[in-house]
Amino acid sequence: MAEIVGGFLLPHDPLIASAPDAPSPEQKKAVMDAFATVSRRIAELKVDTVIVVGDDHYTVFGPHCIPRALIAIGDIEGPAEPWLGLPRLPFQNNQALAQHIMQHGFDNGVDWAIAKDITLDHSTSIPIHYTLSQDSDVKTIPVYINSGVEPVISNRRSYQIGENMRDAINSWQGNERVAIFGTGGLSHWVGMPQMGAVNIEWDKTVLEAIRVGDVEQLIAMTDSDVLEQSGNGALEIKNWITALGFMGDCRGEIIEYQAVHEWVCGCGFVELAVA
Amino acid sequence: MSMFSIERALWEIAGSRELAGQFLQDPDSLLGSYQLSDEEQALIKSKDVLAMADQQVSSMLLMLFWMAVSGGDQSLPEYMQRMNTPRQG
Repeated sequence: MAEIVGGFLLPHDPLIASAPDAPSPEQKKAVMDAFATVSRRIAELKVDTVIVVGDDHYTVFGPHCIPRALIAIGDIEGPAEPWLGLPRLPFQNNQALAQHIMQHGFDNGVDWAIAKDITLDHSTSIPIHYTLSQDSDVKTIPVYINSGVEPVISNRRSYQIGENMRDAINSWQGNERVAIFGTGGLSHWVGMPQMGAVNIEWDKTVLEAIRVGDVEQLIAMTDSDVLEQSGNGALEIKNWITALGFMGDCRGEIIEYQAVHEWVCGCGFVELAVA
Repeated sequence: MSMFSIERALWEIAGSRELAGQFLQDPDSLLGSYQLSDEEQALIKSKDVLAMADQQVSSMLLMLFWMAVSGGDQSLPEYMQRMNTPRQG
C-alpha cells in the first residue's frame, strides 16, 4: 500500500530564478541551502512521488476560467514564464496515482478541474526545479489551489482537499512513497503598492503555529486580515494549509526563514512530521 | 465599468508578445476589438495602474501587463512609483 512519508513547506518565489543575485550572498546561500536540505530529505525518505501544491498567478489560467482546485493527471512541463530564465522541460507525472486522486475526489466530494496536458507556472516549477534534479526518478503530481486570483478558495476547503488527497493515498494499492510540497508565501505584496515589504512578525506567527501543530490558528485567519497585514501573496498559506490537511496531525520543523526584500518575500522552509 | 472585461484585455495583452506589440503601435485599434467602453479603453491606454487597481483589477495582473508593455522587469521601479503616487483630488 502507498505510504505518506513526508511533507514540506517552501517558497516558489519566481525572483529566486529571475534575479538570483539580488539579495546578499548570505541570504541567497541560506535559501539555496534550504532547498538543498529539502532535496536531501526527499532522498533520505526514499520519496518516489511528490504532490506539489501551487497556485496560478494569472499566468496559466485567465479571466475566462479560474479553477478552484485542479490536478494535473497527464503530461506536464514547465515553467511557462520565459522571464524566469529557466529552460522549459518536461517533468515526470505519476499519472496513475494522479488519476486515482482525481477519481477519489470525484467519488468523495472534490470536483477537481483536470489538466490533461499543462505547462506549469513558477508556483510548481520552481520547487520542482530546485529540489529534484533532472535525472531524478522522483515523479510529481501538480495540484493548483486558487489562492492567487480573487475569488480565492477558503482556508477550510483547502484543508479538506488535503485530507481528501490523504485518503486517496491511503486507498491506493501501489507501493509509492509519497511526499507533499505546500508552496508559496509567506508575506508578500504582488504588484501592490507595498511590494518589497515583508511582515516578519506575521511570518513568524505562521511558522510558530505550524511548529506546534496548530493548523486551526491558520484556518481561522480571515482573508481580509491576511491581505491587509501581509499582502495578496500571503494568501498562499492556503497552499500550505492544503499540505497540512494532507499530513493530518503533524508538527513542523523549521528548516529556514529569511525575509528577503530583494525577492519581495518572506521565504520559509518547513519539514512536516506526523505527530 | 466592468473590471472583468478590463482583466480579459490585460490578460491577453500580457500573455502575447504580438498583442503587446499591437498595443504599443496602435492601442486604439487593438482595444477597439474588445467589448470595452470608451472609458475603459482610455483607462487601459493610459496604463494608469493605480486607477485600475482602484477598480479592483488584480494587482498581479496589472504588474504582468505593465511589464509586457513597458519594458519588462526593468520598468518595475516606474510601476511602483505609479502605484504609490497619491491620487488626484
